[in-house]
Amino acid sequence: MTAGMPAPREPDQLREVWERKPGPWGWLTDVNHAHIGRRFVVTAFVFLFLGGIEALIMRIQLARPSAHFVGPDLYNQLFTTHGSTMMFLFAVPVMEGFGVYLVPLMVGTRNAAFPRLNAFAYWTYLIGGLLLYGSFLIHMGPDAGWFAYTPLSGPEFSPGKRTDAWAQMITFTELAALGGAVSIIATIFKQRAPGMALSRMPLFVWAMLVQAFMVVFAMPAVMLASSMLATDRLIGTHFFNPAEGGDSLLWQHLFWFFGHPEVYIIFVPATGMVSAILPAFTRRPVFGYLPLVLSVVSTGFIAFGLWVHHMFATGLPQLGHSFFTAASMMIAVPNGVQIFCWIATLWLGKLRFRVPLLYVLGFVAIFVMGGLTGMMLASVPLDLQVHDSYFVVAHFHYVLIGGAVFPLLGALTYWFPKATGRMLSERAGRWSFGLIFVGFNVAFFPMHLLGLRGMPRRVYSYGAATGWTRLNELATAGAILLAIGLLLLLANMIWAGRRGQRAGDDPWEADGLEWATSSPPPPYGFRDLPIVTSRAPLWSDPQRRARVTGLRTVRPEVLVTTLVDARPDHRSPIAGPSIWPLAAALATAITFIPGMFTAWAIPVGAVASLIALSGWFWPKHPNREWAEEQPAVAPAPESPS
Amino acid sequence: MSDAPGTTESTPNPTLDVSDLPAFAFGARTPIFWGVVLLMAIETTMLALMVLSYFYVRGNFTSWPPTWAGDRSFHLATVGVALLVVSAVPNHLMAAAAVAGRIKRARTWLIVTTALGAAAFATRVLEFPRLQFRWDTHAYGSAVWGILGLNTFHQVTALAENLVMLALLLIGPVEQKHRHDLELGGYFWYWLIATTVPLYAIVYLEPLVFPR
Repeated sequence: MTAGMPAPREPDQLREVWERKPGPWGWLTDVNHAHIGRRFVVTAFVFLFLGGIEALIMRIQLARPSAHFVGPDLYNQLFTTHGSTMMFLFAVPVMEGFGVYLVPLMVGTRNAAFPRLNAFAYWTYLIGGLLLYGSFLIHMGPDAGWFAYTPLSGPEFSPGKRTDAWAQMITFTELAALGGAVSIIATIFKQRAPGMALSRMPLFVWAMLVQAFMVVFAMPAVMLASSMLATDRLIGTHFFNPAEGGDSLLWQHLFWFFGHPEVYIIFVPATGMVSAILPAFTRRPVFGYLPLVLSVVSTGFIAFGLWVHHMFATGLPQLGHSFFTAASMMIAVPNGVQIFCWIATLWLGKLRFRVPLLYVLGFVAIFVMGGLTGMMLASVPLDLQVHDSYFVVAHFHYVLIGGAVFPLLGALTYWFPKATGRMLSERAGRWSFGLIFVGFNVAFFPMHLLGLRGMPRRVYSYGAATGWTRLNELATAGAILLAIGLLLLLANMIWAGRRGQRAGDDPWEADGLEWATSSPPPPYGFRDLPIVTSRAPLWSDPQRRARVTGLRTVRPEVLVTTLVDARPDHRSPIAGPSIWPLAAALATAITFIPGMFTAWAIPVGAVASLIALSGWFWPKHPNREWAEEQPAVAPAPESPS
Repeated sequence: MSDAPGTTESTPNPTLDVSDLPAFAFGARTPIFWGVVLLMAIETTMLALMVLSYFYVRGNFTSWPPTWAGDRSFHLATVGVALLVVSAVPNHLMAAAAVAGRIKRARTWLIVTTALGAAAFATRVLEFPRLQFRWDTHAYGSAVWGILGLNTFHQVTALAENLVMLALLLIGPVEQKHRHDLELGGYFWYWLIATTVPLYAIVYLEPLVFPR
């Protein structure tokens, strides 16, 4: 087929080729990035609410001294499940979900680079979440904390299968994160629209690129650590057993080498969300594109050099204290540059005080406070006083809720119209924001004081003589307000999904390519791929005159461009709907869930995985048009080179 | 090509026709190349952390190694590594033939590469029971079994990949993009060799050179 081919019956033919199959089979085999991204986000919000319920139960227990709302064993399972849910089942997957949904649209391509890998990532994530909650429901919930320190989590002090459930849940969630990251990097590197040089890439896409690379280098550490813990518990290895030459601190090093980048893996996409939201509500491009890119890239690197600040109380050499204090303070520099750039954008812009902007303002206030307590904790003398106290709990909730959840809620409000074609209620949104902002501060600010007054973490109760009662009551009241705000947001989403004001392609008059297609987007993304001539494509080419033609419409095909300058390079077929990602996820489940109980699951699961992967990679029978264009390479006779 | 090819301020409806672009490519031009590179990055990170854990537990031993891993397995291990290193040659020939479009030649060299890899895997299978300790004997044993175990997992994966490619080449139809798949399989095989050699050196040679 050459340039002389007849004009395709777009968009009907496009839709036919890119649409998922009908019915339940279509749902199981779907590889469309927008559908997968939406699944990630919806599932993550389900886990957010479950984690929130766990938090509320803990807050009710702690509201009164010597309370008996829950006992110590259940309390241990609650804080472990709450932390694991929020970190592994909510924060990372929701960012991944936004990335999977938005990045292909923002770079102007039809689907992510590895559609089946995205689907596999979702199924694997879902299985991991079901494993954790299934275990919790049968009273086998992990109870050694979300970071499962040895020797507490080892075979001697955590008998039974609780910690094994945690360790295997890690395997699933980290595989999911890695799958999403690989797909996002390949999409960003190779499928950007012509003209979208790296210097014109949206800041959200830069953030997802940095985050994805961080995932690639950080997740292996926790996979290795959790596997070592699993083998220590199941088959008697001694990685963390000091009696046979192992080391409990090895666990801490391996876990935190992952764990510190993990929090930036959560935070960096949120900075991208802030940069994406601001232009529409300040009516100008974000101030300081280059410093923002350099900041996010340097944050990605520096984040790998901080992990020992979680271990200041373990008896490190003096040099370790000094180095990691300095590094932990140093990361404030790029983060600070970002905050200043955003403040400058607000200062120089014409503000539209809609709900997404409110969340951005809330983010700045709360995240900066969290960052300041972070600087305090970076200093060893102070950290030694408040280590394992509620001061730390206050700090990380300020940076995580302020730094990630606030931008996320702003992003949800901002992109809800794109995903559903309807606007959320502005009024309910303002109420939600107010309740969440006030409730959050009332819940978590007192925890700074509780920590300074000596209240330790992870205690199921305390005595009245400690004097901690008032502040705990206040924190519980705040938590309830926060919960009401979130429930209002949930109600808003459900209501607006059916009755919300209809949104067109671009209800916010924004600047990015995702607003250049319908709301919700068609399964093929864009009818014609755009050509990009600036950092704000929709503002510089509002009629979208510049476009790409000539991509085949008889099969799913994308345009591959060069890495730095995004010059068109070749056309590439892309995977369509397939059951093999689900099969591979189930094979992974066969390997690792029975693997909690017997090592024989490993070889059996390996065979199942081999079958699933072979099916995945085995070529589908090419259709006639495809075969005409790419005649099969004959194995015999020998063809001259 | 300019940054925004085919577009100028004065062009009323600038379009770019990509229908004549090829439908496949080689080397670093494709998304799947980057997928394979990232996979290698992930697995290398895991290996590096496993090796760092090996050296970390070394600090807890007054005499290292407690028993040298190679007492009965050194020759087998050395033969295995040598077989893999030698397989780099047919691997290169396979990949070059694939890129040049000479499928039958690529198939032949793939068979040779895979046979050498299978022989190396066989030595590894014989090596494990000949180690002087089990994974649960002490932390050194856990670390050595961990390193060798991860490397063996990679050997199995690479062999399986080669066998599936071979099946495809034998059954057909072979498409243009499979030439690139063979090229990438070649990169993965090189990576396997490049990681096996230092791991062998750490497990078998390091305790000889730097004993405690």
